[in-house]
Amino acid sequence: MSYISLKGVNKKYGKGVNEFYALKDINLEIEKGDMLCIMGASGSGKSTLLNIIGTIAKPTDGTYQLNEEDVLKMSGRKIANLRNNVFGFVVQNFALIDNYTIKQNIEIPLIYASIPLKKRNTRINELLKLLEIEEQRDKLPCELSGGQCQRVAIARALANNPEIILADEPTGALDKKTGEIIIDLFDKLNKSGITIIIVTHNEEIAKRCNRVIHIEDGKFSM
Amino acid sequence: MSSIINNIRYAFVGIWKNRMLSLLLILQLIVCFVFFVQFINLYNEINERSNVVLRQYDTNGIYFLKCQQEEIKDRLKDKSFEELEKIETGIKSFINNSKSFSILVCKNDIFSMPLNNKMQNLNLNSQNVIIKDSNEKIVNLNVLDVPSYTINMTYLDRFGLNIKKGRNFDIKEFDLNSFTEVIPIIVGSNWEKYYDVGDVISIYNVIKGENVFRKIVGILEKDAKLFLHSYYTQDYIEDINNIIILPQLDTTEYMNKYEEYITQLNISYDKNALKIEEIVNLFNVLIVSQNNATKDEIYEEFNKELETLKLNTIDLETIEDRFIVEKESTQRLMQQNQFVFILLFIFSFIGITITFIVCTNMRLKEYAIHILNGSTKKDIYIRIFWELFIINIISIIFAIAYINVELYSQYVNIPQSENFIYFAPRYMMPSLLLNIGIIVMVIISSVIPIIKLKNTDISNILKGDD
Repeated sequence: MSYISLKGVNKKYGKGVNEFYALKDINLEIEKGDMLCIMGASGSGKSTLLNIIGTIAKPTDGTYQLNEEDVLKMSGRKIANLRNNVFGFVVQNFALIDNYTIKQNIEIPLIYASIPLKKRNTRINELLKLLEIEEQRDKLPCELSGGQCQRVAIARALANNPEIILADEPTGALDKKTGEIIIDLFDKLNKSGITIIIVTHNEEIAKRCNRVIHIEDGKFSM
Repeated sequence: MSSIINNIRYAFVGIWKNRMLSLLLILQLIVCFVFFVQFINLYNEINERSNVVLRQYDTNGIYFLKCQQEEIKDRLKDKSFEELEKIETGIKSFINNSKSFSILVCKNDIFSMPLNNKMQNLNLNSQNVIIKDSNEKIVNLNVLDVPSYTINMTYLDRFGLNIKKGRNFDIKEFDLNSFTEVIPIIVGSNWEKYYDVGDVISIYNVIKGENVFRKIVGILEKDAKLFLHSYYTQDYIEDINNIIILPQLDTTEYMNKYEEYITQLNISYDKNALKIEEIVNLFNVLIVSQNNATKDEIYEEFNKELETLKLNTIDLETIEDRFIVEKESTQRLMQQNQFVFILLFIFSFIGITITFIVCTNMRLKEYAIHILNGSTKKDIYIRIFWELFIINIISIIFAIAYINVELYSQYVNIPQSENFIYFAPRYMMPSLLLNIGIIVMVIISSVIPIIKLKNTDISNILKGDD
C-alpha cells in the first residue's frame, strides 16, 4: 500500500445553486520519498487537494489513508499531531505571524511538540544556520525580504523533522533567482528522504520533480 | 497537560502581542465593572441598612410620630405669634409631663473640629469654612468635619453607651440651667490617639459661626454601637469610631441663641414662619413608651391633647414600618436611575464584544498558522477563553483598586481610613457577584469570536491562488 492514498475523494463547496465541486473523484497514490508536483490553472482544485492531504480541509467524501491509517477517522488531537510532526507547510504568502519575531515563528511547532526550552533553542539555532538566516533571529517578518521570509517558513516547516513537506506555490512571491534557491533546498530535502508535494504553475519547478500530475476542473488530466 | 500550558502561554503571548487592543478591552471592562459594583452596592445598601439597626436593637415600644407637616403648617399659618407661642408651650408642656412616653433624641449633625498639635502629621488639607447664609469665609482654619450625635437622657437610659475610658454623661449634664462647667462630650475610639479624657477642646459650630469649648469626659469602645433611628443616617455608621456625642441641652436656650445669631447677621426673616417650623419640629421625633403604655394609649393621649390645641391628629409608626416606607422611597429613586445604569452597562458590554470581535478578525491568520503547526480549533477556543479570563482578572484588579482609591480619597480626613483593608468587607458581596459576573461575561464574550472562528475555513486564510 502507498504511503499516501486518496480514493474517490470529492470536495464540494456551497449549497443549492451555489454548489460546486472543487475536486471530483480523485484517486491518488504517493510513495514515501516522492517529489510530486501538482499543476493546474487557477481554481482548478490543486490547493484544495494539497489542503486535504495536509488535513486542513476535509473531503466531502472518499477515503484518505496515511501510512495505512485512516486519517478521516482520526481524532482532532491526532490530526493536529500529524500537522505538527508529520507535515511541514510552506505557502506562497509565507504564513508568518507578523507580530512574532523570526525565532518565535519557528518556535511554534516546537512548542506544540512539547520540546523543552533548551532543546528548542538548540533546534532553532540549527535551523537558522541551515537556512542561513541566523542574523534575522530577533527581527519581525516585515523587516525581511521575500526570500528570507520563505526561508523562515521552510525553517518552521522543518522544525520537527517532518516526513512530508507540502508547498503551495512556494516561489510565487519570489524572484526567479530566489525561487531557484528555494527549489534547490527542496531538492536537497527530498534527497534526504523527505516526501515533497509542490503545487505550482511553474514548468521549471515541475521539471525538477520526479512525478507531475495535472489537475483541471477538480479532475486529473493527462 | 502540555496543551493547557501551551494555551495559557499563547493566551499571555496573544495579550502582549496585541497590547493596544488588550489595553482598550481592559479599560472598557474597568468601566463596566465599576458601573456593576456601584449598581450592586447601591442595592445592597438599601437592603442592608434597615437590617443593621433592626438586628442590633430592641425597638419594641419606640415609635415615630407620623404627622402631615404641610397640613399642620396650613392650620398654623394664620395664627398670631402669641398664639403660636402658646401652642408651642402647650405641646412642650404636654410632652415633658406625659407619663406614658418620653422623647428619644439621637440627632445627627456635623461639627468641625480644629486639629490639635498631635494631628499635624496627618497631612490634611485646610478647608475654607463657609458660614451658612453668609458670604463670610473663615480661611486657613485647619478643621475636620466630624459626624456628631446629640443624645438625651431617654436615649442613655434605653440604649446606654459603651465607654472604654472615662465616664458616661451625668443626669445633670442634660440640664443647661443647672450646669455651669464646660459642657461635656464623649468621643469615638479613634480620637484617643489625639485627645485624652479631661482635655478641653474647641468645636467649631458652622451654623452659629463660633468656636465652643467642650470637655472630653469619655472615650467610646472601638466599634461601639449607636442606635441610629433614621434609615438614611445609616451611611454614618461607617464612621462610628470618629464620632462625637453631645448631651442634648435646653432647646429654648439653643433656639434663642439661633435667633440672636440671625439678628446679628441682619437677615430678614419671618418670625411666625420660624415659630411654625419649631412647632412642626416638635412632632418630628421618636418617642419611647413609658410605664407599659401601649401604642393605642399613647395615640389616644397625644391626639386628645392635639384636639384641645385644634391641630390635626397624628399617627404612631413603628421603626420597622418607618424603615419599610423609607426603603421603598429609596428603591423608587433607584428604579428611576436603574435604566441609565443598565443602559451604560449594556453599551460598555457591546463595546467590549465589538473590540473582541475586531481583535479576533485581526488575528484569524495567527490562529490559522497555529492550527497549521499543530494546534486544534478547540485549543484556539480555549485560548480565546483564557485570554478573556486573564484580561478580566487584570480589569477587576484595577477596578477594585480604583473603587478603593476613590473611597479612600473620600474618607481621607477620617483617621480610621489609615487602614486600607477597612473597605474590603463593604465590597465582599459585590466582589463575589463580580466574580460570577466575570465568568458569565467571559462565556458570553467568547461566544461570537468562537462562532466566527468555527465558521472560518482555515484553508481559505492560507490558500494560494486556487
